[in-house]
Amino acid sequence: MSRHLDLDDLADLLAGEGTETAVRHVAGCPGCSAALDDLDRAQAPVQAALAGLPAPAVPDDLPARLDAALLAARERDDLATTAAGAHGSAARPPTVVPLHRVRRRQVSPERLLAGAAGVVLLLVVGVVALANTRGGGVGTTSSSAGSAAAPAGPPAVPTSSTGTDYDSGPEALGAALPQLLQGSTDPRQSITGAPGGGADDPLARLRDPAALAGCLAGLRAPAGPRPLALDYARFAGQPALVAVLPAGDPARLVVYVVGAGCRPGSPETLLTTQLARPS
Amino acid sequence: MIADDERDRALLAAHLAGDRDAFGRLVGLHRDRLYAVALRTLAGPGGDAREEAADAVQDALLSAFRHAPSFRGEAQVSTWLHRVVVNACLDRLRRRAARPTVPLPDEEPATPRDRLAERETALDVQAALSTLPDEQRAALVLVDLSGLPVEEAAAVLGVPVGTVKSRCSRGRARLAEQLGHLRNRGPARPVPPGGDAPDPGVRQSGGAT
Repeated sequence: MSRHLDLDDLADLLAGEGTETAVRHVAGCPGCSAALDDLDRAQAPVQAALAGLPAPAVPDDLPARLDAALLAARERDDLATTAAGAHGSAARPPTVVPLHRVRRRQVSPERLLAGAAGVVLLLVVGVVALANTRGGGVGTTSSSAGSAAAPAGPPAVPTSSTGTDYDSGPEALGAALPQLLQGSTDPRQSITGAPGGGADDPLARLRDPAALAGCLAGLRAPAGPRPLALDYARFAGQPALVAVLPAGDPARLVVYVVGAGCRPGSPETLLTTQLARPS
Repeated sequence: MIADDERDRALLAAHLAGDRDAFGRLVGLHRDRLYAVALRTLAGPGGDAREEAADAVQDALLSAFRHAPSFRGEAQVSTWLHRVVVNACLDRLRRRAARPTVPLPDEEPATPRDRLAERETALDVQAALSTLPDEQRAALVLVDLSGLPVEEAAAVLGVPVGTVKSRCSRGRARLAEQLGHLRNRGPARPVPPGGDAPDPGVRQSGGAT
């Protein structure tokens, strides 16, 4: 006789997915046959137990959080569309057409390359134009090399992970502001891929683009949620994200320092201050 | 069901045509059910998965928003949304399994043993569910908790119908054992908890504790 059937084998038999060996075995083994009958009888109480699980309570902040995240995503899309539209292209955001969608018979490699270069150029010009419309010379890095490989995303935000404790508040932030606005030109440190984020990084959650977008949207900043600079740092001894955003006044910036759990409805704001925009 | 899908497709079409509220309305119609799927799928023996489930639903719905233009309509909109959420959950479970973790101390529920029978069953069932291999739990959450037909669950998980049937059946069998509904295990050696040998490439987050 072949080996006796374990619980998985019996379960597969019951589901009509048993092997031929298992089917033959159970026909000739009273012990396994009885076990199969027992499993069959257990189906109804198990399914009743599962059906009896109450629908879980949805967290109170989930609707607002989803709305905020969708709003942030829509604003990013609008941004990309505006950048494209400013240079007379069609109203679609600039995207690179994946090669498998291009009919190779009709497009020569040279044309493809020229087309791709044209799109990259458009992205670069779009990002620079965007930076200039923010009131002069803010050093937004261009991540065209990174984003050319993906559908149009947000321009890279200068992002640092200094771990500085901005203990003295506005003074320390003001002093660091020019450097933060420069951020890193390393595309690996763009908004979609800041370093850190290991299992013991207390700010790991806010390195996730969706969680970050939700946090920034929930701040209800006066000129919108799009950051000009980020620093994963500390404040008064605890992990904190520094987010530099435009203020209503184009000559100023508003800086939020928030805790690691920042989310819509619960921004965990540790400090808010307005500073002069560095020249 | 069909009327619901027509409603969903209309909202998706409106979204793609530029209606700025349409996707939010679509989300609102499916949010609670998708959250329940995420919560039950992510619940592990470590305890409260509510925050993680909310994060997973948010990630998934943003992904759906970005990929809405490429939805070809070959499945129901609801199936598509479930697929995005379940995949987001399974990704998180794989990352959880890959991270070395300090095992949490066993947590006994604080409520006394003489509680209502219904509540006791619910806690026991939830605890038992959380110890299943991830792929079995994901299948059971879709079929037995969310009420999806097996064919739709197969489309969500991207596996054959037979695989879904097997995973559901194996999951129910382990639950039957844990909940004490099996009197007769038969002459075979017991299956180790958390083990799922014939299903290739499955990493367990429940562990064999």
